Parts: sequence; C-alpha cells; structure tokens
Amino acid sequence: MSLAEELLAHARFLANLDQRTTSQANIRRAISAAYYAVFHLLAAEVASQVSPDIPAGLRERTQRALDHKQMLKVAKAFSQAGARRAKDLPDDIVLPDSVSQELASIANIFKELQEARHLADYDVLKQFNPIDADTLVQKAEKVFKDWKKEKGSNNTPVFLAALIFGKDWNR
Amino acid sequence: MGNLSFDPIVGEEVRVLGRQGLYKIVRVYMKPPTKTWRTKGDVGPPLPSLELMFIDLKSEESGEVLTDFPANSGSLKFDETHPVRCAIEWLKTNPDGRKYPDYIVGYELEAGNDHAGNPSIFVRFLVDPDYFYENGQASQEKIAQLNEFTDEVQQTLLSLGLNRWTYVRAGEARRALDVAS
Repeated sequence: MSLAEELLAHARFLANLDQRTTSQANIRRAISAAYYAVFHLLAAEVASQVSPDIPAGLRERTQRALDHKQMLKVAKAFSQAGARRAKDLPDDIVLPDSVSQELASIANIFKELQEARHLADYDVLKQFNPIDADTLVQKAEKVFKDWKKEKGSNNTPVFLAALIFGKDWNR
Repeated sequence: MGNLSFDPIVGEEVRVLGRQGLYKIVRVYMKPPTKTWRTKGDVGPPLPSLELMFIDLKSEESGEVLTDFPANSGSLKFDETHPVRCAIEWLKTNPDGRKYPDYIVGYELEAGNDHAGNPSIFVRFLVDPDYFYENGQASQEKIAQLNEFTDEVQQTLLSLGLNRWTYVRAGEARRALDVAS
C-alpha cells in the first residue's frame, strides 16, 4: 500500500468513528489526513513522470520539490470542466483536450481540501463537525477514483508538469 | 443559466449611497412608475405596462426604513458575495431540472482571503445532520449526494467568471443554532 493509500485509509478510519462521541482532534486529523492522501497521490505521480527511479531515492527526493501553494494555483487553473485552456499557463502550453469532469473535480477537491486542512490544523477558533470529515474524506476518495480514469488522458502530462514546474513557466 | 438574475434579494445586506451603516433588504417588488407619459388625447393601442423594481430597506443600526427605493438607481452597493447569492437563489428554483436538496436548511456566505491570501468567497450549505446519521454513522450514499450537489454549485459559480475563488462546503445547521444560543 502506498503512503497516499495509507493516509486515505487512516482518514476513513477517523471519519468513521462514532459521530456522537468523536472529538475535534479526530475530525481535524481526518481532514488533514484526507488532504495529505491526495497531496501524496499527486506528488508521487508528478515524480513518476519527471524523474527516473534509479538511483534509489531520486524519485522520492523529487517529491520534496513540490510546493503546496503552486499546486493550489494549478488546481485553480484546471478547476473548470470543459475549459479549453488552463488559466495562468503560458500561451504556448496548449491543452490537448478540454478539461474533463474528472480532472476538474480532482482540481476542485484538492483546492477545497488544502483550505480545509489549513483550518483544521491551525484555526483553533473554528468548530468542526463530523459532517466536515465525512464530506471531505469522501471527496478525497473520489479523487483516487477519478485519478484512475484521468491518469491516461492527454491532459495529464500537462497537469502533472504544471504542479511542479508551473511557477517557472512564465519567467 | 438563462433565468439567472442579479436583482436584489430579500434578506441581503447593502450599503446606501449617502447613508451610514448597513441596510437589510426587506421587500423587493415591481410596480409601474408613478408618472405616466400618455396624455388623455392619445389614440392607438394601450402602451405595454411598464414596471420597475423597487425595494424596501431597513437600517441594521437605527431601524430606519426606506420604502419605494428604486432598485436600479445606482445608489445601492452590494458586497462581493452578491453574484454568488444570486446564483444560489436561482438554484433554489430548481432550474433546468436540477434539484435543490430539501435537507439544506440554509446557507452562509463570507468574503475574505483563503489561507494563501487569494480573495475568496466561502459558501457553506447548512444541513440537518439527522438526515445523514444513524447510530452515529453517516450514510455514505447521502454524503455522496451532498458532495455531488456542492460540486454542481462549484461548477455553476466557476461559470460566472468571478474574480474571487470560491470554496463550497457543507456544514451542520446545528452549529449555527449553537452559536446563536
């Protein structure tokens, strides 16, 4: 089981705790784990695309180069289903196909989860409810399902490359 | 989105040019203008009835009421959430065969920045938790339906081409009641 899958399973375990007796800590950790499950899913896919796996550790090291804010920008750029162009990408980077429902959903959920993760980890004023964990963990699970469909699409190489290199494409 | 309108909405807070503080819209209505331009001697078919939109407003601070205020006078200043509110109110009319779920008891809108500093609008649909939980466990099918709805709202908002990012989530209605009590 990959780290991303383990984190997703952990998020699901926490979200499934009895709604009547669960704690803020459980709900917050469920949300955080859901985000990191998706983050590591995408990070591993990016590294797999841009880096060989020999020598050992090179690909894992590549994952460390990913930046959450840059990934958020890319997620926003790919968030509209049917769009022929991803916002903020250089004009010469053309999408082979329009943004699919699956890719738009992945992008939107990533954006949503990152914001929720930030609140869950740092905003002690905010009160979370079990439904926050239930909705967000299920969204993370949807990303994993949608990614299986999207992975072989023509847009995937652009999306993955943008996640790691996008910030330097407009230099 | 043919019937989506950006007219004022009852319950919305606005600012009024030349007046202090926030006003709440308490009524939106159409009526003919007070003046008619037809004179007694005119002949021909009757002019189509021309109606304009008016609103009644109430000050949040002083309680002052403004009536028969022309909605399109340019004196009203809506906040950044206005187009989002309009879109949600439009969705509540079940347009294009879409269904606004019965278990949603309200919604909250907030304009602000997200954690990365991007100007954003946060939408939170308040739901009745009793609909989703039984013996402490959520129905995954119902959660999926709720997520599908919030995804649809997100796509609707994206199609408006707003300058702000939008975050659409669900929350428990009980939370709002707890805060109120």
